[in-house]
Amino acid sequence: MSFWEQVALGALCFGRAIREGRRLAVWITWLPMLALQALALLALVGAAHPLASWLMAPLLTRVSGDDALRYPQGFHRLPLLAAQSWFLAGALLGPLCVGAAARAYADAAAGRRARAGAALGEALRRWPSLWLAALPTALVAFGVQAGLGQLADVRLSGPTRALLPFLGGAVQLLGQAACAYPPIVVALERRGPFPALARLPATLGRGFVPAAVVLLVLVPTVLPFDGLAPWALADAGRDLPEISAVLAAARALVQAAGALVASGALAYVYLAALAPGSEDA
Amino acid sequence: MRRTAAILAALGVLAAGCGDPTLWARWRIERALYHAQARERRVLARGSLARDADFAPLERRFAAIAAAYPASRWAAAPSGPARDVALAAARAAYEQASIAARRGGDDRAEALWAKLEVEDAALPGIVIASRLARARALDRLGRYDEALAERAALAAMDPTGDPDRVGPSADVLEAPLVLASELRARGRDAAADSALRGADAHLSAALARGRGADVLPLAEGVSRVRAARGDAAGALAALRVALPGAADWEVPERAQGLAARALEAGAPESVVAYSRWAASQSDTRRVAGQAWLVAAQAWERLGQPDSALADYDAILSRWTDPGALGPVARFRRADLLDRLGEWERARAEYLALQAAYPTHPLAFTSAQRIVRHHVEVNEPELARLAAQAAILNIDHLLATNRDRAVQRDGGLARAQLLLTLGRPREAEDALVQLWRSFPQDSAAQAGALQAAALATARAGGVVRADSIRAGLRRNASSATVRLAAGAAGAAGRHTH
Repeated sequence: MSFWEQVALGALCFGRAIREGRRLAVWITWLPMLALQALALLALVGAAHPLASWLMAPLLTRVSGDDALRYPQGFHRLPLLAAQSWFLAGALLGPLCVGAAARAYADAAAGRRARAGAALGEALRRWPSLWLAALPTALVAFGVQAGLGQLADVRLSGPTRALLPFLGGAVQLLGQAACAYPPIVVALERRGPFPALARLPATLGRGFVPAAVVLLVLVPTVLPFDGLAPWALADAGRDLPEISAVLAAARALVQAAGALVASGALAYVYLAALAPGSEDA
Repeated sequence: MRRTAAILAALGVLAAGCGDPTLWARWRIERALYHAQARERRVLARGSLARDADFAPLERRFAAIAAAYPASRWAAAPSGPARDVALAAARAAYEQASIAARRGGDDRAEALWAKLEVEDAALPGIVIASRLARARALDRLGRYDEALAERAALAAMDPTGDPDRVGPSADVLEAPLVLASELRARGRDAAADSALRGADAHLSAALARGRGADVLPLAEGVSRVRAARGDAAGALAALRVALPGAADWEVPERAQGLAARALEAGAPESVVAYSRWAASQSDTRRVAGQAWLVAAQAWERLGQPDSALADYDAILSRWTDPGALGPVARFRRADLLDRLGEWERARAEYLALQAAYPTHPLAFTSAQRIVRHHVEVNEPELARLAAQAAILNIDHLLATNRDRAVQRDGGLARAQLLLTLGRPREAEDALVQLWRSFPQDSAAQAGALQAAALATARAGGVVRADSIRAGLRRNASSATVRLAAGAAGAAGRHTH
């Protein structure tokens, strides 16, 4: 497959994943992740309430200082804390949801009835395998974020500092595209994590570009929220700091929807070009 | 598996509700206060369009917040979330009083602030703010002695005694100077001297206890008090205390501070020495420029005008844009040349200042200086032409520039020029109009007093003069202006 054919494959699979996304069953596969993030947001917003403060107060004081438990500073810090909680929830439940979604999408593509409960049950049984298979992706994200955090204290020119988040985002996207398929292999071929990871180099030739296309298409979906964050903190936030919680919730919803579609699109790329016995494999 | 989940769920249910309730109380009061203050900002942003009906619910809202978290329950907490609750409740009570004062209820506001001082004595930051606000309210109510007592109580507070703020309180450090100035304005010089003496001892003790970043502001406070007492050597000695602990980069600025204080204290030789030191260590406008400015003034006092002119020149030639120093240096240079009898050079400087900084207050003063010179050397026609030209310029500026400071300064200068032109009735009207536009501005209030004097001096103007003075007695923010209005009114009634 030429480069442009791979680009077209990525785009086609993305389009198909969106079309199949009309089924309720595939949405349900990402509900655990959404529920966990909703719980985390609720705990962050109500961290000072006696129902949550026994757990959240020591945690937030350690992570973000006592101000995170105050009004309105707690809402000012919410975007960053919500991003961190999304990262943690993704590291914990992301592989489970990717596996379940890939199974549900594959069933839908094969003309079978997609059953969310069965897909989630199977993913739950394979959770450790899925988690191990997704470890490289999580490590790439963690590495990039930790690197950016380290560079915060390094003396850099203004333009370099301004470009760093974009550079970090690009590295993360390419790294995650390169490591995208092992959880799909675990979910669709019912293999263990190590055989799935061993197949990673073989997926790069035909799978890297389509995966990068799928992930790249999703980037603009969260950009409006990042663009609105300064407005929410400065202008609108002056009178209504709670708006940052609404934005964080909306961002989580869009992120979950994007991750769901990406799971389906990657499953389709895998089935079309990488799976043993596929037309192009 | 199910058993483990059940145990975990049971533990979660048991743990839920075990959190600290003060955290939730703090969150709730801070939220209530934040939104009340946001509402207050929106109302205040409407300026003169804000009505009493807008303020009344706000006052009730702040009162409700303060009442929900009584000081008796919270104010004793030494630190932590409970103290934050106490601070927020006290802030709400303070805002309630401020709004009451804004609605014209100074007596109600004064009582609320007095209550705060007693109930929230453990919150020095709130007590300081309440004392300041209460003193102003008492002034407005005409209870001057009580206002002075309030200022004296503020001056007696420990500037470093507020655990909720970093560094000494600027209001407490400033209080003895304000108190002394108020006392002197009422002719009570002995009481003013006594207040300054007490403040000197009190603040010196705080300086001796001070550590780290507290030392410089405390030293400056002691130094200012000593300078106000006329103790030049003591003022400098206080500032020198802050030098040893200063970092290398801070030394030039502190040396410049020493020079400025020496100038205030009347020690011009020391000014020159400290200024030279500061200017040799720094090249910034803030340090070197200020150092040259105070050095030039010291040279003037030492009777060496050439050195003073050289320092003013240094400020104007060293930087392409000398910033805020530019108009000051140019004006002082012109003033010095004028006093040396070099009128043509002085006039050129005054005109250059007006051209370069047309909206600066000193530009308006420069225009008046030119007119005044022609009057003084008996050139009435030239004075009239200069005054007419200046008024035309100011009228154009007032019509095209809506900045409030420009409107006020330009309006005052215009009124004085009208007086110079021999048009007192127009000057009187201009001053009254200005006061109506800026009722809370002390310069406009002083202008209104002058307008009252002008009205008194003309036939049939007594009624208007009385009305102006009554308005000043009722609404002027400055106690000095109120007292002056009262005294002039009484004298006017006595005469007529």
